[in-house]
Amino acid sequence: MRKELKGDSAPRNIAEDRIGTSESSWSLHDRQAVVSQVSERLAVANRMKIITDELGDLVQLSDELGYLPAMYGNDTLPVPLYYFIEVVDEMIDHEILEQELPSLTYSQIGAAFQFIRRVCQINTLGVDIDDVEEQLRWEEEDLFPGQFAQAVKSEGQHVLNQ
Amino acid sequence: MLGTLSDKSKIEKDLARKAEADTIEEANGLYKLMKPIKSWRSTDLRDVRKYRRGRHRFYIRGHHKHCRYILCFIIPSKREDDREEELNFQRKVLQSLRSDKLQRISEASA
Repeated sequence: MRKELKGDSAPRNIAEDRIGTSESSWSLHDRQAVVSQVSERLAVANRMKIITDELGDLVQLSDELGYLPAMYGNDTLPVPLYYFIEVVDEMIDHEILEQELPSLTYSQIGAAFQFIRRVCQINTLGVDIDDVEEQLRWEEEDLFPGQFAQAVKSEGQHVLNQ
Repeated sequence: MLGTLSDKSKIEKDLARKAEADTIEEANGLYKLMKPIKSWRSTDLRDVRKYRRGRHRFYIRGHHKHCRYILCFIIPSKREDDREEELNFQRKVLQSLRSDKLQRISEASA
């Protein structure tokens, strides 16, 4: 299942295509692509870390979740920020936002929520959370944030071990 | 609120408003917000895309150039504890796609 996970960009696909092969067989181009992709993710994570520091770590970036922004509830389970945005998106009537921001279309307001959600899914492990969710959803009977965070974590270990 | 699944008219309205922004010439609404599902291998499912609103997920077939979208399947937010689990999702989507009968959104989500 895990090998079927695909990222959005070519460099990541190159890296994943190499899963299961010896690193010594990587070409210089492959290595460069992987390093470049990791470097980009680390730069984003570093920027996010500055923001979470400013917020006193109320939102946290943990290494075990690939610096996926999350908040830890009193049950110690992480509530990923992207999940938080999903709940907000679900609760807010977009037509009210449309009235407040009349220059925007209804679809743009929907796209804004999707954009924020996707940004909140950025992680240093390069895990495409929607892909993971899509596949796990059909294999697991129940999927809630704690389990999902665990999935992200295990996927990350899988990637990093290559 | 959309979060309450009993209020299906909100969901229907949300989808309709986004769909109506699309035209034959240009996609400005729902089509742009739908995402292809890379992990699906079946050729029958190739044109099914996923649209999200909050935690709700909608699986939709159609193209803005055809002026028609078919809502194949809905996975509502899991706020209703008594909702039946869909253990074989892709099979059900396929069944839905092969059915000629068009369903209203409220019927498809039932």
